[in-house]
Amino acid sequence: MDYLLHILIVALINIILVVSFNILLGFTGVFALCHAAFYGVGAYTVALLMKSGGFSFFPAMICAVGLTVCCSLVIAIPGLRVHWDYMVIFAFSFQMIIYHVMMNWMGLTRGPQGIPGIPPASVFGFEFESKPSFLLLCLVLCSAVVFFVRRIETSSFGLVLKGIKDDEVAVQSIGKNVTLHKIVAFAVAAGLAAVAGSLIAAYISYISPGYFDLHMSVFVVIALIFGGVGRIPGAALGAMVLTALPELLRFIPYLPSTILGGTRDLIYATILVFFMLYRPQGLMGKARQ
Amino acid sequence: MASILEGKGIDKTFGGLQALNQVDVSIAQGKITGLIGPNGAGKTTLFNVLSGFLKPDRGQVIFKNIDITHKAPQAIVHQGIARSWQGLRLFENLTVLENIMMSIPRGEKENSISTLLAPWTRNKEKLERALEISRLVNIENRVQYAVRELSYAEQKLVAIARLLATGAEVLLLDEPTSGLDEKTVNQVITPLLRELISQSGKTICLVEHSIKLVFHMCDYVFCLDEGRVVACGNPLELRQDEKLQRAFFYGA
Repeated sequence: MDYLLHILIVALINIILVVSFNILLGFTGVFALCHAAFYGVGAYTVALLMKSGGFSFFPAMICAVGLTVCCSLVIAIPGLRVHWDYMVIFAFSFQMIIYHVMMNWMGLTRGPQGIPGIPPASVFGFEFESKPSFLLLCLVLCSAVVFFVRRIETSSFGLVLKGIKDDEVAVQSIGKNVTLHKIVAFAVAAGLAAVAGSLIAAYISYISPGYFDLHMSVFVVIALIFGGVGRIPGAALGAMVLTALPELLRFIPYLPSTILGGTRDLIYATILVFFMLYRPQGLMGKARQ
Repeated sequence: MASILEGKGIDKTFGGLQALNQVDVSIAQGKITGLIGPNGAGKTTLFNVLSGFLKPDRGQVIFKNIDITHKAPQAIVHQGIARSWQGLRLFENLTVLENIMMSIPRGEKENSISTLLAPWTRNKEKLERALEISRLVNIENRVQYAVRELSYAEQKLVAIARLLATGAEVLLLDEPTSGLDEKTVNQVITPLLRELISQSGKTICLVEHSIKLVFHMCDYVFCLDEGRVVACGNPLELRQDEKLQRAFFYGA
């Protein structure tokens, strides 16, 4: 039961990540392979503020969101003014820089040793220490994020983002500032990734740079494509399935433990390739016209 | 009639090609001005300069006595000049209504938060305006369709609707009738453009290949060739210029 709750909690945190990334790739068409960096900045901020600063969870999370938004602006303001392919390089570089900062700023992040002993989340004296209570917290925050992203999708702002994905020049010609819209979308997506980071830090009580490396950013992209780019239910389902799938593959019978890891990755990759061949629009995406 | 938009001494070069050479144009307020010329004459380049999508190497673009040469395209739309595209550039995956709604500027009651989070379908004021525009261009029955599902003629109308939705005073139309049959042009496009001038007080400048339409509709015409204005005047004057007739109009 505990194991199931653990998978559910991780899945909900991943849903926040993938749904927030959907604002970028799904609505706006901005491909930025650095979502794990924002996730990491959020997690480390919460970890440090809660452990060393004596902050409780929610104030620490608000600070984490603020700091992550500021970090996102550092690359969004120069990166989103240029052509999209430069932005891909900007984002990739940012991901690498943040990872190396986490690995090497020993005085702040303790490098590869990570930060242990992060206190559990608490609100008005109630500690979300048990798995069911933390699941509830994740459920509330995940629902809030999904609701927030859905509101963006249906707003005038979201409409312009979809226009940007279709044709940036046309958006300019109707009097909309393309760069400003992209920067705001980027900042919002980064802020929401920090919410996911806050939750993971408070949940596992130990974080290290390995959680926030390039693989995690790639996971977010794959989960969104798997679920259906541009669709919130697809993003959520993609995150859930790809969180659960490797866990399910643990139970493959008759495999010697020495080759279990490799075989599991092979099956995981094969399923993804076949899925993309036969349903390229993703689980819930609309078929391309 | 006073001119509302002027291009003064505009030069634009692409590599070794002089696309515009000392071009002077003046668009009169409340009138229809035509730009004609063979392919490669510089008509669309001039449109790109007037709408801010290209910066000229030399020269100025003046709108209501303000120099807008170096303003960004979206700022020029806010000033009151909007343009359509030869290739339409509609948001094909969105509906007609969404295309129009997106183009309507932010209302006084809207703020940053409501723009970010309030569903656009609940903005009654904007919705009414969008439906009014769709009625004006005769596509009110198609507003819920995705643009890609419409015929080419209908897409042309959506392009005009989107332009109107920006609320701009000056409309720059890049080949509004190309690809349309004569019946659609005569029954839909021509009356619509006339209505925009007489009822809505717009100023129109259009690039056209159809000389017949230009002579029929425009109050003033600029003829471009190899990046220069080779003639200008009202259609009556241009008709009488025999040299011009031979070079351009093939007896239109």
